[in-house]
Amino acid sequence: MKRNDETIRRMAREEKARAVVPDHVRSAVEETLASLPETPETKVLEMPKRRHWKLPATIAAAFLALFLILPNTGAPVAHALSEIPVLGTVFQAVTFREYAEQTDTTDVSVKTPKVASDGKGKEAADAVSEEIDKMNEAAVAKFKQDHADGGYGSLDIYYDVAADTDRWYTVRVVREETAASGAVETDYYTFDKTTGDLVILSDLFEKDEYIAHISENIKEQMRAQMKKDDSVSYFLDSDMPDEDFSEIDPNQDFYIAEDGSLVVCFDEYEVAPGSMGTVSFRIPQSVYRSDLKPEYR
Amino acid sequence: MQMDKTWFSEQVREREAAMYALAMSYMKQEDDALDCMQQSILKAYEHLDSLRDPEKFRSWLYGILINCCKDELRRKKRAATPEEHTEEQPAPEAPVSHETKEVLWNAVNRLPEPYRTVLILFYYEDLPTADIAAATDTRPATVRKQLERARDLLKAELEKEGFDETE
Repeated sequence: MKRNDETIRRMAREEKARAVVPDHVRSAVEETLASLPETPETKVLEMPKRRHWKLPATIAAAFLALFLILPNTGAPVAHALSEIPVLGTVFQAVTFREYAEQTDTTDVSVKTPKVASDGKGKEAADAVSEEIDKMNEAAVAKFKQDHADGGYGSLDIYYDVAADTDRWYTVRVVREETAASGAVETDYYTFDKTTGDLVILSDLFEKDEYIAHISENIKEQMRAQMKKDDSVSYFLDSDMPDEDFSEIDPNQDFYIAEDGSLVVCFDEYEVAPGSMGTVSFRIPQSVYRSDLKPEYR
Repeated sequence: MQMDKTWFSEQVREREAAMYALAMSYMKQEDDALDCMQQSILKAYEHLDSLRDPEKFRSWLYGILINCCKDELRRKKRAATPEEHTEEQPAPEAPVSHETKEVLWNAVNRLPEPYRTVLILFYYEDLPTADIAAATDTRPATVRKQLERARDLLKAELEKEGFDETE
């Protein structure tokens, strides 16, 4: 594969060096540029939405207030990631929409959850449920559009509960497209039962250093795995640095395992070739503990 | 850095060869490719203030061009009579050069979408997969999968031509 890649790259370079843009095309571009007004009209394109929903500030403030009141009730000031919460919110993912559609060439199967919760977690659970439903339907619409002119393929959307500990509840949604152009896409939604809040990775930390600490640990694990097993491969230390894994995203998928350790998750092709599938790394607490917010230490 | 008309024009001139190649790979006919290039230049300038990072101009411009080409192809398809409805046509000529038979380019142009676009942007334009994802409105992981499949398809195409250097 590497030789294949290098050969294509070399041929592309040579052909590009010989490339000629016809004079009439060049002239047409110049005419277009000359016709532009001195100042462009201002029309702001809509910015892409953030992938994970976050609580509105007012609701977040309410949860924060609730959390700050807890110490006065005699509860422990801070819970470790794995400790039992004093006031727990119950979350439960149940199937809300399930259907299958088949044509001669395509096969779509969708199982969408609704995350149910009691009073404290209801706002977050409802918003996440709505987001999952919208994203699933968008994935189905895109799949149908991509296959409007034919072509074999299937789309399988399902969910499971990745973690259900005393403190954390994580729903995992998987969108698996078997058509050649798609990849397995996985989203993790993690709720903190003590607050009823949806938590993204960056919410756990007060210091940005967690990104470097966790990323370095992941790279060490990648190198160790590759050294131990020739069949293991990651995008790391390659001759294409732009394509190598550099660092985790503040919004990186994760969940908290039963033993309280952080598990960082990557989609298929995100940090490794397709043969590796989706990959995850269990990060020892010693790596990031000092970066955590006090309530999570 | 001031993103004014002068700056914009310089950026476009630097990328006109790539724009031409990309537009030809979609439209096949030079007149149509040129229309899409001009439309995308006008559209890009109109929305220039939405470009947050000047370093991303290249992938941003290619994304606009790709969308213009796709829109135009859809419009043509709707306007075509049933007799005119045909499968995607191979490129009538190698758009990077009118004189030289370009083995790789012609093979790339025989591939279907999305493989053609990711190969052009990755190998001819040296765009990282993150930027290709931005240009094609998809995710870097998806682009990597498309590239993996595209390389296999390309290898098969080149072997058909008796070209086995990639083995």
